[in-house]
Amino acid sequence: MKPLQIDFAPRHGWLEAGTDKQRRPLWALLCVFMLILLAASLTTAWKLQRERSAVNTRVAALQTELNVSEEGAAQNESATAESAVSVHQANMHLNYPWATMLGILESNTRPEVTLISLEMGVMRQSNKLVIESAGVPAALSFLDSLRDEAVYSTLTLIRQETVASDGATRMRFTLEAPVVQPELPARKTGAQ
Amino acid sequence: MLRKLGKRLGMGVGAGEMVIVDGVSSQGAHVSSMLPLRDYLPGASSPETAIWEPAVSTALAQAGKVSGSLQVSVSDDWVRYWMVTPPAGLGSLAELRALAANRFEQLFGAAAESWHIEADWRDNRAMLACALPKSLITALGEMSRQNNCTLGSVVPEAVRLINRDAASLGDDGWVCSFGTHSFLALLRAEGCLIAARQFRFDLLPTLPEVLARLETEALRMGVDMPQSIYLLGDAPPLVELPDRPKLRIMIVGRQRALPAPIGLDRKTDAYRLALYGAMN
Repeated sequence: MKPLQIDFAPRHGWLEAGTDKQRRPLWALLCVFMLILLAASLTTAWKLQRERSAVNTRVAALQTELNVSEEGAAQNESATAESAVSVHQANMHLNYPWATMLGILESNTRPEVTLISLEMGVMRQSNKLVIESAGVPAALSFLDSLRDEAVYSTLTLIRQETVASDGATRMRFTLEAPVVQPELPARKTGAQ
Repeated sequence: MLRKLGKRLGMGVGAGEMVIVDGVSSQGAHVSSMLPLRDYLPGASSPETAIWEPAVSTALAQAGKVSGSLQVSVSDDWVRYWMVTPPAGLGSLAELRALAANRFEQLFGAAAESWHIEADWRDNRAMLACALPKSLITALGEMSRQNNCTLGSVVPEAVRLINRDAASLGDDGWVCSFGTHSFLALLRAEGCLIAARQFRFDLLPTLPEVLARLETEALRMGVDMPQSIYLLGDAPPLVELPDRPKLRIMIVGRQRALPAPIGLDRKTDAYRLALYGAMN
């Protein structure tokens, strides 16, 4: 005979419906479900923990690698900058308009002025022109004529001295003009 | 919710007393409350007029701090049983409930508003319906809200007994559940309920007297007297029936000895009912 489904207890929800014996499978099912959920949660948490450890290790390795790379990059950058300055200076030296300057000197030569030397200063910051003449007026006239040219416009007299040569006394003048340095190309920085 | 998975408390609402059993062990059943209803049940002369709230709250107060699922078994003295047959074209459960209430009023001549009616509503054939005083159900529900226990079940005595031994009951024959002052007889054929009748008595009838009442009922129903009879509860003892050689009478569930009460001097009907709930 089937049990009679008669119960006067007020029912409030599906878990309370039916007799205790009928509810037992529901509770068992609920318990099994909760256990499965708990096991799944624990497994997921364990996996996540492992992944987190792996990611942390990887991050630490990448960080170390990055630090090494940054140090290397800084060294390279420094070396590159020094090299660029050197190359630039060599380039500037090679491209300096010596021919123009010498051509202007030739076109302005005069008998009473003797060109002794034209050279760049030790620090390559100025051009030094040494001339000799019998007197000061001739030297100053030569200086004025040179100043008319653009490359000699800043030429100034910085020293004069008397020298004896072959029994004759002559005046030696040292003229100087600053070398106009073209700007270096802009350096690339890490922020750019 | 977990609280509801806790221990079972048994409450027996007997004809004259109320007992709460809050644990059964090898030493016996621990009775935490025993309340004589005559002092705590105003209007007890009729189930409709009885006010159950004082009795229920006092019994719980006597039991002290209890928790768990309370299984209430109510003596058949407070229960009304009858049959409900759903008519063809029935529209809803509410309609069936109204039909059961109407049938109750016809059979017992009492207003259905004072009673709580339940039946095995799942069945679309004839079904057993029963009614308990509404004030008792209300008091039990209120008590469960106020105390640290849930109302697991409220089941009439005969239903509790039948369900306990349902597996031992055949599909054909009479099933008779004996209470203190009545027995419920269910006539079944091929697994279907055919008739339900509650017989009241002052003294427990003998087996021939029981058979006589069943034969009369079968005659009234116009069916042959079944040859199988299952007896449940405090059934009368078996006797020789030489004039009915084919009749098979089986006493079901008697082999289960009830544990001795701890805190009670005798096994009352309320104690027995409380154990049905606590041990089921």
